Amino acid sequence: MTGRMGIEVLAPSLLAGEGRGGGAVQQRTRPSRTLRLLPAALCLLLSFAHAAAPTTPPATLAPAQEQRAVAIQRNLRCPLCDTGESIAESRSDISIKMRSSVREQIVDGRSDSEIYTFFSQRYGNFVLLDPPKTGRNLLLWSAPLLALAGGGAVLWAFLRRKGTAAPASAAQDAEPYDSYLDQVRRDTGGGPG
Amino acid sequence: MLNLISFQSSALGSLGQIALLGALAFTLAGLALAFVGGVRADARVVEAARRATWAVFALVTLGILVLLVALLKDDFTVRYVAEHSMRASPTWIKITSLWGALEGSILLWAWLLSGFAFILSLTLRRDALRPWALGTMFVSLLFFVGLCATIASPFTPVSGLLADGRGPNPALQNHWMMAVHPVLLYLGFVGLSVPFAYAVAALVTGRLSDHWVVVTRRWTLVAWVFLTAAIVAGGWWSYETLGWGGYWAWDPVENASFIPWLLTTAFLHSIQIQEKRGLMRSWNVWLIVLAYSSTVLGTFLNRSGIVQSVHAFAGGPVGPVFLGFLAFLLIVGIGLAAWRAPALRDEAEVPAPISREGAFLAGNWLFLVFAFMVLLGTLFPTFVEAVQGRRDASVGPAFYNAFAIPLGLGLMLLMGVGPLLPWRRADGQGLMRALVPLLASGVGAALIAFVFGIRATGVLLTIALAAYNIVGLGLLTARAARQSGGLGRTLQAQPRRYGAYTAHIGLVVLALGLAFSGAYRQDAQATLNLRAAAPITLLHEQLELTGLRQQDRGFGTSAIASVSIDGKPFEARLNTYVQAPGTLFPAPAVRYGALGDTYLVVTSIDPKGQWASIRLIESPLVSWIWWGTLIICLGAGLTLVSPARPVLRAAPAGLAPATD
Repeated sequence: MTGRMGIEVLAPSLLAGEGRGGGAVQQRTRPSRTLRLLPAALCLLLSFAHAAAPTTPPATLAPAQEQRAVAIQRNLRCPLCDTGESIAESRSDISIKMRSSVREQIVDGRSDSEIYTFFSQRYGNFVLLDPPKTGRNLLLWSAPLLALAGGGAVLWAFLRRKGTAAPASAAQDAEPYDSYLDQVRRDTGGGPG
Repeated sequence: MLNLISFQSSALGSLGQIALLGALAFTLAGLALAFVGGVRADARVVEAARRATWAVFALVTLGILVLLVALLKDDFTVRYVAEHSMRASPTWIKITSLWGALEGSILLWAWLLSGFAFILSLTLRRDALRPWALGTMFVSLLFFVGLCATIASPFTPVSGLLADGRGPNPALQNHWMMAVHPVLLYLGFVGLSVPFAYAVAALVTGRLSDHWVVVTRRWTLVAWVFLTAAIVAGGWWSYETLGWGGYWAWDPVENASFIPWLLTTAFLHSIQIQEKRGLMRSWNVWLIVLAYSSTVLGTFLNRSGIVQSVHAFAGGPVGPVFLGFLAFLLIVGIGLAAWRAPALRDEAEVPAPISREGAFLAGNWLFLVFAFMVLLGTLFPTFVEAVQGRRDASVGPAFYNAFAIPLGLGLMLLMGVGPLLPWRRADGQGLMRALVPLLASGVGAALIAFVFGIRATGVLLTIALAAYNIVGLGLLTARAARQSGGLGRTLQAQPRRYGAYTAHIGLVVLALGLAFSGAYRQDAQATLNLRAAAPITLLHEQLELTGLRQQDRGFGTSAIASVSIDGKPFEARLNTYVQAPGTLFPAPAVRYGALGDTYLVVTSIDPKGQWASIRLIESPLVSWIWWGTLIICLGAGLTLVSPARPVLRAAPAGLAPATD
């Protein structure tokens, strides 16, 4: 119960972390074009501010939980950095807060997908570095498989084009391919052999 | 109207601009001459086009030398120098600033391209392909020289004279790799323009000479070596400076350099089918057109800012122009290929599925799917933004790894079986006999690794495939040495074959490095106090902060933390540069080891000098990636050594594959 309240309290503080006013907070909850304009400099500047006060991890997790936390942190993108870093790598203030939020939610016993939903509701699908396999993302996930299948079919059709190739005769084997000879043969209209 | 030149404001600027405009004039003239020479089959006109490349090369060389002199002399009347250099920088930074920003990098590109055109003009044979290959080079030159003589000129007049320049991008002066990686990458990208030129010439004339295959393969291989070295050098640079202990992040711009690599690797294998069997002619032409287009796509992604990336440091008006050039290349390439494909139809019989050709083609299939997957992941967020009007999607390593690992393992599987297979068709029983020792060693290696505690599936499979590949190549080499009476003799007779084997071994080493460092990287963070009572234990290492100091370097400052890790001294830095006073650039301290690296990065330092927050990373076998790449490049270089002609002729009969 207390943990849950902690998250509810944390959520607005996450958003207000670097907010310069109510307007900025509003925009960040629903990422809009302005999100893009927020410079990386801001994010780095904040990391500099952070230098004065090192934060300590809020809770100690069991090794399995710790592994889960790191895996989730690697799959969440820093919402304010232009570099595409995950919050596991980023030194920005918001990433540090998101990291501790992930840990607290794990302590609370939330599932991975609940945690991802929590962040995508606040920052948009933009923060999900491991795109969930639903909706439009199915296009993304299935296209390589379709390409694999389609390419395989084309390859198979090509290799089977003339039935099984006849075993090459010994005489043909002895003569290495000569493209000049081949060119002459084609120019003169004569087939090989 | 673009103001290109002002004689009053800058002497060097005017000279550079005149040189580039002159190069543009010769490029246009050369293009027209090549076209006329090709249509009329007039050798004298073609000769004039050929010599036009010399003038272009000379003039672009003059342009780049002028820029270099301006950078070294701190001549801030030249726009590029004023915007991207400053007095306090050390000399090597001033030199690398030449390609540290958009205009200079395009000028370097144009210069390398004109250099390649010059070499090509000296090596081209007098055949029907010559005017069209030259003409295609002139089209590429027209684009790049045209860009750097007009909208992306480094020499356009400055409005007001600055006392000191604005300085280079701080991220690009943090490491000496700045002198290596971009140049290698451009050599790789530009190198592909020559095979592309040959491909277009083949399409226009509808014929492929004997010379075509040899020359195209050779140029592609050279470009491929540069591209391989450049990609890994970029990874090493990232490892050395970004402070995250990784080397590859599936960043859009990294992907953009990887796609041409995948396509070129596919090409280098399928061209051998054409060389040996006269098959896959139009397919090869397609591949090289795609590979060259993908380098332009990569540059477009890098320069347009449509994707978010660590490399998004340069924008400007060139994005749409690159997109236009890309569209032009694709339309012309596809149009020509559709028109001429019937002329390039294969006449030899189709190979059996289980044959050397079959393995190469299956490899092509995986390489293309790989390239498609990377391209899709890179562009998907942009597609979503185009449809939804806002950035609402990201594609991270989770997506890429999900496909890249199985595809990579599949390629390793084919890489092992390919050299065993004979051309045309393999006899199934013979193949099984040849495969048994390989499969046994693969399974054995994986079992040993399992006993030693390795549980990650990807790593176990990589180990198994590594052993399978190495045993396969070892057996083939031993058999060939026995047949030809000595290892030295077979190496001399077949430099190309053993070059390829060496490159494959390098790739195995690299794959092991990727697998282990990806799966078993450990990472921990702590804050260390100066004069602490006892050392802190982190990842089984004893850490102690032994000193903190500040160093003024003129163009910036470094905060240096001296840390003793298990008694060995490490000095990690946080650099700042005068151009960006608030931004910290970490310079990690790395101790390289054959079995693993110890990597220390300072994340923050107490302004009062009492503590430092650090991150310690231990990753196994990272250095195998760098050594593996070196082996790959050496092996690829060895394949360029040509044996004596009679030996080449005798080779297929004398040194038969393992299944015979």
